[in-house]
Amino acid sequence: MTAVIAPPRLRRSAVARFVRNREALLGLVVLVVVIGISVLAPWLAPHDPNAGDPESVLLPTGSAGHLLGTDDQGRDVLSRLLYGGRGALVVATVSVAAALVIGTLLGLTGAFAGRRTSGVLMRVIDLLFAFPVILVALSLAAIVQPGPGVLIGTVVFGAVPYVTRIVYAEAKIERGKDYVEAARSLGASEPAILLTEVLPNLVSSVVIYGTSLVGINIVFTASLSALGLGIQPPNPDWGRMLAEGAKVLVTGSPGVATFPAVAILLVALAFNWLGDGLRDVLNP
Amino acid sequence: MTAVLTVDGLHVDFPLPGDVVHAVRGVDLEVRPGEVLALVGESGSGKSVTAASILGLLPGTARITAGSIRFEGNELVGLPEKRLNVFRGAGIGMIFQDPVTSLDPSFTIGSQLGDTARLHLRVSRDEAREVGRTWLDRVGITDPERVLRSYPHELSGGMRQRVMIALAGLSGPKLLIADEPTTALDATVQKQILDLLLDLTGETGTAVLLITHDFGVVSHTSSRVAVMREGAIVEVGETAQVLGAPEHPYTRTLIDSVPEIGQRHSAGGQERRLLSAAAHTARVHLSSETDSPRPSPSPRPSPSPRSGRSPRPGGSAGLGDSTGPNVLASPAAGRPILEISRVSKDFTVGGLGTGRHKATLRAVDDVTLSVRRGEIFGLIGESGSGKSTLARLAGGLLPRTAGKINFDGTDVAAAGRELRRRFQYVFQDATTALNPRIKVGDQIARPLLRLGKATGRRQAAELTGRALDLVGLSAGYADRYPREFSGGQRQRVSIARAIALEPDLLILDEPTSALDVSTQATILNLLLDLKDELDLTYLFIGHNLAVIEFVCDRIGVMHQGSLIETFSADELFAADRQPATRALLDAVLPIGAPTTTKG
Amino acid sequence: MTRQILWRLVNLVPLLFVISLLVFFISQAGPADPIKDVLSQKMSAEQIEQIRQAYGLDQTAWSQYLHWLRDMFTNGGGISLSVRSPVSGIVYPAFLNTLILGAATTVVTVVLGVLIGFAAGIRHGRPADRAAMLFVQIGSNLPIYWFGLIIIWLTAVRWNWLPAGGMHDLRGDGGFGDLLLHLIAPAFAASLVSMLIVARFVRAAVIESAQSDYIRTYRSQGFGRAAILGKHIGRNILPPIVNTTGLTVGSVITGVVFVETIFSWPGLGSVLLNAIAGSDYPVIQSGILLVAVVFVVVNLITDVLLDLLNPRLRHA
Repeated sequence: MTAVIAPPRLRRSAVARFVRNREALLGLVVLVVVIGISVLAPWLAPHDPNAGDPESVLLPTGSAGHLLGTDDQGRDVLSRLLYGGRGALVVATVSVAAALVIGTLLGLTGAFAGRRTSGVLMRVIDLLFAFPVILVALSLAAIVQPGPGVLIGTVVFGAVPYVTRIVYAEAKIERGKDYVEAARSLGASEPAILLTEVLPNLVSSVVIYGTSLVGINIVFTASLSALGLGIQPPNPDWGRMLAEGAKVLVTGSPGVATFPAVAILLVALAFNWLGDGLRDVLNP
Repeated sequence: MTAVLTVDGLHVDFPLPGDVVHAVRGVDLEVRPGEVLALVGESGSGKSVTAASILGLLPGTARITAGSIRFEGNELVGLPEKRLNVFRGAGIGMIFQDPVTSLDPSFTIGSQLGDTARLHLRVSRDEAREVGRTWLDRVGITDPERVLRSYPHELSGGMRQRVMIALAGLSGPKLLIADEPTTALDATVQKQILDLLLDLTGETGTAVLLITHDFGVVSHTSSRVAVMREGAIVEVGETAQVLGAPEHPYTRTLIDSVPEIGQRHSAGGQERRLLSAAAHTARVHLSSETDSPRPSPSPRPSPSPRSGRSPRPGGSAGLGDSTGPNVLASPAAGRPILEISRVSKDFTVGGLGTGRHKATLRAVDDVTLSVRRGEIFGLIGESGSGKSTLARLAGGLLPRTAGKINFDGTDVAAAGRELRRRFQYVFQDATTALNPRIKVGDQIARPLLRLGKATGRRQAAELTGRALDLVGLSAGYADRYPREFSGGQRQRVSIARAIALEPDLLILDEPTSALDVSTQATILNLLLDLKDELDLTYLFIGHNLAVIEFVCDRIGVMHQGSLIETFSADELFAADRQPATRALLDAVLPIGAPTTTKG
Repeated sequence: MTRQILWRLVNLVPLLFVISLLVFFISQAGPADPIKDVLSQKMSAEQIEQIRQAYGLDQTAWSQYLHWLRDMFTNGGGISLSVRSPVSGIVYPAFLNTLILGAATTVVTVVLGVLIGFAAGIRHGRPADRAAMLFVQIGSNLPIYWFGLIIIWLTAVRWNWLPAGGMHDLRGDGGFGDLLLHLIAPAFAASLVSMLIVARFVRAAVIESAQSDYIRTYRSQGFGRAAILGKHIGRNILPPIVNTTGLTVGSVITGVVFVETIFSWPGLGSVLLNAIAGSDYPVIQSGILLVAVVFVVVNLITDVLLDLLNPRLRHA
C-alpha cells in the first residue's frame, strides 16, 4: 500500500479558540468576578445590607462611608448590590439547568417517537412557545406564596418550550442523517443511538443556548421580583432594588435603581458573550 | 472576429477569518460570438466562481483582486451595481445549477416571466404575459397557460430549468452563462435540456459559456473547451482536439477517470481498473490533492483502457497476471446470497395537520431479484425509481410492506448479530454517514464490539487499524474526526467501517456519486481491489449507466418502483432491451472522441 | 385551505377546555380554604356554612368547575371575594385598558422591529448593522422595569414631553389625542423585548432571502436593488414577520403587565397583582382566563395568516 494518505491537522486547541475570542473571555472574566463577589459578599460588604439608618437616608453616590449612596431607608446601596446577585444567579442557573434537562428529553422524544406522539407533543410545545409566562408567574403566585419558587417555576415553564424546539429541530435533522441509519444497521439499539450517536451532536447547541438563557432569565426574574412576585423583602436582591429605587429615581436619586440595573445588564451580557464564545469553540 | 467576452488575468479571493482562499488565480478566457465554450473542472477548481464574477454575482465576501472582464469592449470589473445592471440580462444572461432554489417560491411563473419581460422589453402587463407564453412555448412547455399560473414548487426540476432558460433567453442576451445547468437533473432530462439550450442559442447566435464537471456534456455541446484546475486554466482548445489528444496530463487524468459505456469490453484480458498506470504517475506529480489514486496491483505499462471497443473475447478472462480470484469469472457459478422475492414498500404522505391529503406512495412495487455469491449486481434507475429504497430494504434499514428478503437463507429483518455482520451497507454521502462528533476509529471499532467481531478494546483497535490500512489510510488516523478528511477519504473510512466486520455482501448505495470524477475512479478501483482481496459480493446502486456497466457483472433496471429487467452487463446493448433501459442508454453522453495515438 | 382553517378552529375547542381547567385549578391548588381569609372571625359556624354554600365550595370539584364555568358566561364571573361585587365590573374595564395598551405595544413592536431588522439586514456586516445588533443585544438584556422608569424620567421629568403615567389627563377632555399621548411611553417601554425579537428575526430573514438563489436570479437579470428589496425580498420575508409577531404575543403581554404598575396604567396587570395580594381567586381566575383566551385567538389569527401567505397551500 504505497499511497497512504495523511489528512492535515485542522484542529486548533479549543482553549486557544476560546481565548482568541475576546468577547467570550470578557464574559467569562465578568462572571467569575460576579460569582466571586456573591460568594464573598459577607466579607466584602462594608455594611449590613439590611440595616437601615434613619440618619443617613438617600445619601448621594460618593458619600463618605457609602460609596454608592444609600436608599430611602438609609441602607447602603453598595452592600445591597454585593449581596443582591445571589438569589438571581442561583434561581436562573438552577431553573435553566432543569429546563435544559426536561427540554432535551422532550425534544428527543418528539424527534424519535412515532408520528402521533410527536405530533401532539410538538403542537403543545408550539402553543406554549409563545405563551405569556407572566400568566404562569401570576398563577403560581396565587397558588403558592410569591417567592423564589414562583421564579423557578416560571423560568422552567418559559424555557422548556424553547429548549424542546431547538433539540427537536436539531435531533430531527440528525435523525435524518445516514450515520443514524448506519448505526442501526450496525446493530445499535435505539437508546444507544440516542445517547451515544445523536446526543453528542446536540450537546453543544444545548449548552450554548442554555448559557444565553441564563442571561435572559436573570433579567426577566429581576422584573418579576420588582413586581413583588419573586424574592421578598427585606432580602437584598437586584430586582427588588429596582422597585425600591423606582420611588426615588425621578426625585433625584437615580443611583438606587440604576446600579442594580447595570449589574443585571452586565451579568446578562456576560452570559451572552460566553454563549457566543462557546459556539465558536464547540461548533468549529 | 472579436470576442464577446474577454477575461484577462482574473484573480478572486475569499477572505476568511485569519486566512484568504485564492479561488481564482489568473484566469484568461475568451468567448467568441456564437460559440459554445465549455469551462470544465472538478469541484473547487474555481470554475463557478469565475462564472459568478463575470456578472458581479460573487457570494458574500469574495472579491475580484486583479484582472479585467470585458464584454463587447466594456470593462465590467469595478462597475457599480447600477451600471452592471445595464449588461445583466440584456447583454449577458445566466442559468444556474439548481432550478429548485433559483426561482422565487412566492411568485407565479407568469409573474416572474412578466417582470423580466417588462424590465427588458418595455412592454405592457398584457404584452408581457404574451411574451411569457411565447417563451414557454419556445422552451418546449406544452401547456403554457397552466405553467404561467403555477408556482415553482408545482413544477418538476426539468420544467423549472426550462422556465429558467426562458427567463434568461427572453431578454435576448449576446452571451449566456450556464453554470452546471443539468447537474441537478436526471440523466434522461439532461440531454433534452442541453439540446434545448443549443437549439435556442443556435437560432439567435447567442454565445454560451457552459460551466460543467462532466466531459460527456463538454463533448456533446461545446466547440471549444477550457480545463480549469486550482483556480487556473491548464488547457484550452477545440473540443475534439482536447478530448482526443489532451496536452496537459491533468486533462488526460480527468478524461481517463471517467468510465465510458462499453469500456468493460475494451479491458480485454486486463484487470478491470480505471486510469492507466502512466496516467496515474502523471497525476501524482501534478496533484497537490491528497486523495491520490491507489496504484493498480499490476503496475506494468499498459495500453489505455479506451483503446478500442473490441468486445471481450469470450472465456479469455483472467489470462492476465491478476492475483486475486478473477473478477470476470463467470458469475453464474455463485449460489444466491441475497434473495428478494415479491417485495413492495409503501410510504404514507400528507394527512391531517400537514395541509395535504393523505396518500399512499408505492416506492417499490413487487420486486423479485437475487444476487449471487461473488458477483457485482448493479441496480440502476432515475431518481424516484425506487432503487435506493430497495437497497435500504435489502440492508434491513427499512421495514417492508410486503414480500420476503433473505440473506443466505435467513430473513434480514430477523437477522441476529452474527448474520447482521455479514451484510453491510455503504452510504452515498460519507459526510453524513459518519458521525461528525465521534473519532473515526471509534466509529469502526464500536460495531466490531457490538456485533461480536472483537472481544475487547485491544482487538477492536487492531482490526480497525487493519481495515483502515486496507482502504489505503494509515492506522494512525483512527483518532481523528471526520471533518479532518477529504470527501474521498471519508468514503474510504465509510468502506473501512463496513469491511472491518468481514462481511460477505456489501450494499453500495451510489458510493461515488457525491465525489469528483478522479476521486470516483480511485474509489471504484479500491472497491474492485477489495472485492478480489476479501472475496466480497456487491449490490451496487447507481444512476450513472457507464459506471454501472463498467463495475457490474449483472444489471437490474428500476423504473417507477418496478424492476423492469435484469441482464448480464455484456448484454446491455442487446436489441430486446426495455424502453426505459433504452432511454437510460440514450441519455448517456459519451466523451466519444478517440484517444491519442497511443501505445 | 378552508379545510386547513376549519381544522385549526376545531383544534381550539380542546385547547380552551384545557386552559379553563388549568385556570380553575388555581383556586383548588391554592390555600386549603379560599374564603378563610375574607371571613370574619365573629361568624358562627352556620353562617360560614351558608357562605360556603353560596360560593359552591361544598360541592365536588367537577360540579364546582361547571358552576364556575357557568358563572364566567352568565354571572359576570362570580363575586369578588375582597370587593364583594361582580368580578366582571372589576376585570372587564381593566381588561379593555390592557387590550388598548397591548394593541399599541404590538404596533410599536411590529413597526420598529421591522424597521430595525430590515435596515440592519440590508446592510449585513457593515458598521450600521453591527451598531444595530449591539443596540439589540444591550436592549434585550435591560430589565424592562428599569427601562420603563428611565423612559418616564426622560420623557416626563427631564424633557417634559409626555405625561408621567395614567391613561387620561384628569384636567383634559379625555379624548383620543390625550389617550394617544399617554400611550406612547408605556407602549414603547412594554415593546422593548418583543420589538428586539422581531428585529432579530427580520434581520435574519432579510439576510437569508438576500443570499438566496432566487434573488441571485433576479440580480442576474438586471433588476435594480430597489425593486428586488421592495418586491421580492419584501414578499418573502412577510411570512417570517407574521410568524415572529405571533410568537412575540407572549412577550407583549408580559411587557404590558410589567409596565402597567410603573406607568400607573389602570389595566389588568395592576388588578391581578392586587388580587394576588388579597387572595381574591375569582378575580385572578377571570383575569388569567381572559388573557389566555386572547393569546389563543392571536395564535389562531397568526396561523391563518401564515396559511394565506403560503403559496403551497393556495391551490390546495
